[in-house]
Amino acid sequence: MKSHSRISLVVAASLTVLGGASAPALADNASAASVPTSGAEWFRAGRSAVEANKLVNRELNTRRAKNVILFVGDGMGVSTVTAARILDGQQRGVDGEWNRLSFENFSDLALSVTASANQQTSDSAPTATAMVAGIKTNDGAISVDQSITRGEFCAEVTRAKKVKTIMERAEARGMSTGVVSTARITHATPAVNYAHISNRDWEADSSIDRDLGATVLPSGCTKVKDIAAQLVDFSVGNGLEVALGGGRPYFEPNTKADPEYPTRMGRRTDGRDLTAEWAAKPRAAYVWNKAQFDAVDPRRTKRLLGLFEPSHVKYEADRANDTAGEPSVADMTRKAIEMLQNNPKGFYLMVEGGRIDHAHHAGNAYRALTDTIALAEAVKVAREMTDDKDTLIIVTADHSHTMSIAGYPSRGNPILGKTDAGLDLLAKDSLGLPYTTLGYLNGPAGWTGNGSRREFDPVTEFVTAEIPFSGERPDLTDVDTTNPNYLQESAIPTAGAETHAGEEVAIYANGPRSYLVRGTLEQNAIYHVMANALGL
Amino acid sequence: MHSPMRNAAMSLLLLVLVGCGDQRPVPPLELAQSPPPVVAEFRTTVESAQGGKTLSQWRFWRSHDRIERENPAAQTGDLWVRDDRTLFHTRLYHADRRGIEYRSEDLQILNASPDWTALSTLLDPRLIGALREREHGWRDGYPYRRYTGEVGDVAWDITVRTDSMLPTRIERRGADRQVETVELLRSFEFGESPWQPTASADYAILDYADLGDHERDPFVMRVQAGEGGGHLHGHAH
Repeated sequence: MKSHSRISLVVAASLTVLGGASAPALADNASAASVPTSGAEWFRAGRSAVEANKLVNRELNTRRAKNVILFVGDGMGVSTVTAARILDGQQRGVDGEWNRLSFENFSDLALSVTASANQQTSDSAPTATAMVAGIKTNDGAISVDQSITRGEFCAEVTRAKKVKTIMERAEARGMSTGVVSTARITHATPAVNYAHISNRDWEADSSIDRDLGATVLPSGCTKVKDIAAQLVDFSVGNGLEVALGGGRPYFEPNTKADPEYPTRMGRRTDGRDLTAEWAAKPRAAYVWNKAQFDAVDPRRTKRLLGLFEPSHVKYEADRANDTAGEPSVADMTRKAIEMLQNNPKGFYLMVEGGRIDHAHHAGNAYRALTDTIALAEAVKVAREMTDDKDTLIIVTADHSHTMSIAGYPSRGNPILGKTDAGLDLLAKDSLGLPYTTLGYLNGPAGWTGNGSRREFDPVTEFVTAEIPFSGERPDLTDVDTTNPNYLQESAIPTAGAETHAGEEVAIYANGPRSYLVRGTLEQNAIYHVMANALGL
Repeated sequence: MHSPMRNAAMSLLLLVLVGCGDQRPVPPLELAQSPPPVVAEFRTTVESAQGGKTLSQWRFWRSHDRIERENPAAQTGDLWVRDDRTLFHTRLYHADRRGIEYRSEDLQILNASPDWTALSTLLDPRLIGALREREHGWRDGYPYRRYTGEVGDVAWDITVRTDSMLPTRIERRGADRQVETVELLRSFEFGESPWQPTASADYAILDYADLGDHERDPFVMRVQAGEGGGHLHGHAH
């Protein structure tokens, strides 16, 4: 039933070349311990990777895709993938540098230029729009073109500027569609699939009304519909089938208490309870905790809305502490595919690892990397549940972050640790102080806005010490920088958040027409690869 | 009619009553207990070794699962809400009618203590445990206990009202000779204070995790630059 013909061939060929050892380019994580230990082994390993690629090129999968799954690691730049790969290996007790995340074994790869129509370094709205609608647009824009003004309230103007998305085209063809995210399901990256709006922040009607204030709309204009309402009212084809993520209050009236955190109320002022409206659809279910989620029968349920937190769902590192319980991104991906596979015409699914970005913004590499590993696990699940012959899987990022891997740490040095200098010595900066391998160019853990700086307290693990400005870096000699709550240092202080970065991100592709992913592509080409594969 | 004998008796009675007051047992400071709802006003004074002095006055509202602090002059505030195991902290910017919400994991990442006891009593139990009780008694009809000592390079002198579980005075003297003092100015039973927190229910609340995606928002730009508002001192760090 399941076929990974190209990979099987390639792996077989690699095994032959290696004389039984695993091939680095296409081996899975389970074989990652087979690190070459001599010059001859490294030579054979390198040659085997090329032999494997020769086979791939001979067997281009030119079939049309039945299904497309787009994984987006929000903020998952190349350095994040590298560091996550190493951390994953080190956590499992194998060689981290030799390790590969699930999607790193995909057959095709390209670089994605993430600049938007008006930004050198972009936010997630135009980058996600590029991926699902095939155009570049401006900051904050959700599947509308660059001629719209951010903050355009008029529904009629918005309608004239909207661009059709891959989800809409798939629905129009009769396919099933879904969106999964660890962010709010109304957040920019998932929203671009089903919504058209000039301002990514208009996730509930109250947000629009607050910005609208006393402004009177021009004659002939009606107020644009908020993102949450656009999700539930999405009517192209027969409407989307699966939406799993966070963001309950954006769907619930401000008179309704949150079921998990009763002190919190909904954010809607129009009186609509969108969760109830969804649940009232034929064979539809609304769930907000893991027990309910687990109880959903994918064969009997046609539509599933799952909202597991008031805002973004928990980081993978914190998920076990959730009051009501939350599914992992791999759990959500599995359920979504089980439901979408019911349609013989195929499906389109976007899965976002949305919190990689948030952890980076906070300057916390640990959570960014563990969420990246969680996304890789979701990709692995998707691959196992689908067939390479008919399912195109693309894994990419919308933009990068400023995290870098620096110094000359030895192979095997803890990726979250301090850079070593061999012989159990720590590398030192010009002040004679040790430093971490991972760091940020800017962010909240650098010099703070008032001239002092925050430092990690290794005793309490939580309490911030405000260290008056002294012109020196902190002495990390006795600090456990592998602690999950450690904030990597940043060179430039920002009081609130670390920023995105503007370099290219990678696109990993596998399945029908994945060979179209090659070279350095503008980000909007991702849409065109998916559309080509689906024949849309 | 005031006979000398009667005056002497009255004086003796008064002496006995006062003496009895002084000798009433002082309730222990039990920070593990849920503190009573209260409203209070504090003043924080920071005096530098160079003679500089800054003052800020702030208000404090405490109920079972909700704590709010507000600095009327700076037009800023902090709201903490406890919902089962989850703590939400919202930093409020009243002039902008905006707020930034932090969840427990955000606070952990920021290394900002989410200890509810410390938030609600303005006292860090670990710090109190590290100090020596120097005296206790009754003052103005209220029971108090006083703790002093040095932790690291910082000398502490803390007096606590044990009935309301609020500090009446916290003095923190650092090695840099900076002295920070927090004084209780007034307190009221909850619902009987002359002030209410500034209504913030309709503020635009931004998730802390979303700060990085609002790079062009003038409010966020000010926060990023560390210009978001005054800093509320007041709890024993």
